[in-house]
Amino acid sequence: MPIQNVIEFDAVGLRYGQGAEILKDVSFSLPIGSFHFLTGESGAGKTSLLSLLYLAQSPTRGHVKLFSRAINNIPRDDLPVIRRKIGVVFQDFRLLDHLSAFDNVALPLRVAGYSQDEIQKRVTELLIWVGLGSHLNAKPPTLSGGQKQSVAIARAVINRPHILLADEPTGNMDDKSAIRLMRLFVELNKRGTTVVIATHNEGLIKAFPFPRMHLVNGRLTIYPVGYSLNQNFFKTESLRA
Amino acid sequence: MLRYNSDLPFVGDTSTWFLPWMVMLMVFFAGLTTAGTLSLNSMLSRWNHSISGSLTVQVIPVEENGRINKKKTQREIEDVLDILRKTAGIASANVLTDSQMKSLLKPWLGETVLLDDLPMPHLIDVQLVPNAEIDLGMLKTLLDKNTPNASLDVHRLWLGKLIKLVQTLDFLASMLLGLVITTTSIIVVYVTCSSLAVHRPVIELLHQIGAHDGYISKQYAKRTAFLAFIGAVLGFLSLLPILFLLSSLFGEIQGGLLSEARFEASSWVLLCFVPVLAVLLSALTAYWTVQRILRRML
Repeated sequence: MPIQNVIEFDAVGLRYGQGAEILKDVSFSLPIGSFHFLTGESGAGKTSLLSLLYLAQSPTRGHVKLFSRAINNIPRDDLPVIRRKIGVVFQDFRLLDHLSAFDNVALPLRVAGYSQDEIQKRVTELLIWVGLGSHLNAKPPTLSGGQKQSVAIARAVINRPHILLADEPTGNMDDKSAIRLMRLFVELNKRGTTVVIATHNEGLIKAFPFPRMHLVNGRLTIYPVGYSLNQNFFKTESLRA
Repeated sequence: MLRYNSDLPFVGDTSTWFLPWMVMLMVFFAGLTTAGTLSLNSMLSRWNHSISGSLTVQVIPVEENGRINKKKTQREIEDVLDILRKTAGIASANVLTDSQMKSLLKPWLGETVLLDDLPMPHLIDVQLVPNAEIDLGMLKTLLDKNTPNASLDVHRLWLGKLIKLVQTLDFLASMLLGLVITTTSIIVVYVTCSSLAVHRPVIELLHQIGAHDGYISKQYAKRTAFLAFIGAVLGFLSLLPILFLLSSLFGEIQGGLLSEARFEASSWVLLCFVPVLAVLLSALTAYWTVQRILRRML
């Protein structure tokens, strides 16, 4: 039985307005249940690639398929259902400051129409798991960077997404917390979630042996597990410890 | 205290702060216009009810050498009564008594009216058989020919003019109401568009986590309904003392047209719908505005 791809890019290009192309001829496919790191220098196009994956924009050229459906042909009314299958951790968290940590995490369940009892149970459980059990009612402005990041991650995974996209998800965390959250992603991945994590953290990539998608000037190359780009592995040892 | 939960940070959204005040003004004007229309129509209905199915024949006293000839006048009255009673479709014809005349004149001339001192015409109240068709032209010709001092007062003609006046006023009131509704809708559209621009990042996030346009639109509709409700209540409360004052002033006028322009219990019930409709209109306008704008987003 052929492996079904959950994400397929075919000669995708992306540019903003009349500017230079940010992504150039990007072609790849990710099977269901795969785990990839997305790496590249700042400005290489990681965030733009992720924005295509979470349907924030359409490609300028080429074809993108999600769940075997070409995104250009998806009726607008079907987009919310597809987006509910995609969990996103934004680099800038995008938490709603007027809502508590609990309500921020509960948002995906609310929009999906879950019952209040179910929301209460799942959100409380997850927030306790990420170490925010005593901050359920805290508003984001009162939380530290790491705590905000934990809330953002909890919001991304609360609905057990089919695809999890994370843009520098452990950027504001200490190594211990980063490992703990990476284990959450791995656990989700074992249950069938396709995971793509954009990161600069070479230590993290070393600690978790998954293939990497590497962007250079908008062009993508996929490297197998263990392939070294000869970059700075300054965090590797501490993460392993 | 009314509370609602929203994913959008509406509290502190200055773009919507003036909405309650605008709705207050609109409810005030719409309520005043509606009250005026209802009063006019109620007055017309009362007049119509009281004089439909009746006629009045007026007999001017016969004068000879500058003096009223009561005998000839009485004979003419009897001739008129004779013609009327022989006319098919007339149920009864009765001359108004002095006391009836005095009560009619009381609002205008006071309690102590000396009818003998005034050259007052005699009035004959004619009641028609319900749904009877009477040839009023023929009756008028007959009266003119046989009783030169008698004249037929067909209320329907006078009422027709009154109806035309009230219809014109109704039309103007409808135009005014239309203007108020349009203005309210435009204000709500403007406020909603401003608010959408302010909250665009949050809306994008809600879309991102899978919110339907309807989920966001409902939150805007609820918020707008809440603000419009505050304005509608304020507008209605501002309207009440003015309506009571006008109602009381009209009530003090004894007799004549204006005293009939009363505000009935049913009118108060209808008037209560004005703020309700204002809230509904605002909420629906906000809902459709958000839907329309979100359609343009990915």
